[in-house]
Amino acid sequence: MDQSDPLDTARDFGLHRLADGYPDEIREAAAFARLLAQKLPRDLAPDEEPAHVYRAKTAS
Amino acid sequence: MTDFAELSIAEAGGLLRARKISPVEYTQALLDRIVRHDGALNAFLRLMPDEALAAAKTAEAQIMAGDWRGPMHGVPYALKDIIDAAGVPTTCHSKIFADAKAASADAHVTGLLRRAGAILLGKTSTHEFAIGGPSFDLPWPPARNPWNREHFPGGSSSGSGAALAAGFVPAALGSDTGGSVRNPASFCGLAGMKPTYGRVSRRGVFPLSYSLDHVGPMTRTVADNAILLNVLAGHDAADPGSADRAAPDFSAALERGVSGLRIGVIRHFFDGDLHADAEMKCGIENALDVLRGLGAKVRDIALTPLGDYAAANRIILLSEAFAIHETWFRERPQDYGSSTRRRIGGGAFIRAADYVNATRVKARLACEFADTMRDIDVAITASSMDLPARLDDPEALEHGYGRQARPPFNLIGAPALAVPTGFSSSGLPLSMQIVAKNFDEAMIYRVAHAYEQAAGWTARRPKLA
Repeated sequence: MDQSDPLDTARDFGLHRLADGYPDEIREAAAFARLLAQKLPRDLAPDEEPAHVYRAKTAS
Repeated sequence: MTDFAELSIAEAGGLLRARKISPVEYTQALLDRIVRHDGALNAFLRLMPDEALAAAKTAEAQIMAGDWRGPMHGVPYALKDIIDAAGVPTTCHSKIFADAKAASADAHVTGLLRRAGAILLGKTSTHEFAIGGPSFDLPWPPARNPWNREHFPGGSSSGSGAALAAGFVPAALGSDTGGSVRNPASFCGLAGMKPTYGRVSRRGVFPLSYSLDHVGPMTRTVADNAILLNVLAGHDAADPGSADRAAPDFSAALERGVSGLRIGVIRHFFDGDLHADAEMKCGIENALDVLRGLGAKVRDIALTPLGDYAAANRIILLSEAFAIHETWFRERPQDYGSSTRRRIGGGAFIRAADYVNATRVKARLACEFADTMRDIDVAITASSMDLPARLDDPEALEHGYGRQARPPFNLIGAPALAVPTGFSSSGLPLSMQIVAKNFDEAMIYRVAHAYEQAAGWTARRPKLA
């Protein structure tokens, strides 16, 4: 997540009413998203694929 | 004289089948109780007395004619108001849908219950779109906890939890994307199951996050939960996440006990990664002692830290939720509650790479869990770390929101049941989670039922004013 003003980013996304009407909420939401991204593990190997398709293992 | 509010599904089913009680008198008694008490609890957004009594009369005629359809026939239940019932609007507890038209069809689960002869009493309150709450800035007030109405009943399936604890219904459905069945089950002293991803169809349920959404049964007893899942489970080709595999009889192994079963305790989730409230922790330790006393072999197991699960769950959830809500966020942000804007709004700021990496973490953690569970029958950990906060204390509510160990099992898809482990010194319910391998809900019920029978917590009921 870059450090640009989240209100500008929201406006870039077309969320003008949200950014203009609820700036504090948007700043809080953006800060939380940034925090989540920082908490994500970074040691993923290239062959670790996304779980796009659910492949359940059966109970043994 | 029958106290209808106290009946379990198992008890009611037996009485209905034997024609000792009538679906009509049962339905009427619960409707009367709701009218008498729900003004103080706000469990229901919409009560459906006419439809319910008509369905009860039909059930009565069928049972009298010998056409008994199973243990839910003639049994009243409630639906979280993100789940469609034909002919009734689904509001998602939001101004966005406050004037919504009636649903044109039943959700898959509603249809299953209708065919089983269950009686829908009404739609229950939720956090807005199953995420924003508890909130006082929505068209309807939040549900309150029957054990102490000043306190949060858990969410987002808040009304379903409150309705069960208050004796308004013996069965209710909730949805669970980060813990929304298990949280109200924990805070209201109930059994709440998040089944394996794909076990129960989500067709006709308003989505929060496609990858993480589950529909689950909520009841006052474990045996009732198995009865309800017996109706709900099964493949639905119209739900892309539905698993094409047969469901077993979830009640079949209930009485087999736990002697010799291997229980792993994910202690670091509640005594390391996070630190649970002392009474909550004590409830889990006492439950483990009970299970040891019943012959289970209990040992600690370790998984990846809880924070990794929580971050991946949240990144996927918020990204997918924002994708669903983006148009309304552009055009009608004023029609959401503040809590929903703050939570779903975060999804606008998550990078695509982080979303993809979260799904890769999901795959990694699902494999780790499967490997860890290879020589374990069930795992036990905390559900909530804290007791239910007061509804007039927004800081405590927000603080408690992330202090829980439920999202890991949404992320990896494994089944997880919240069950009561007693009561705090202040009289509020305590709880734990029992988790199993994918599609092994029956093992969870077996362990939970043995514990419940030994501990006896479900006999206690809140006193309504």
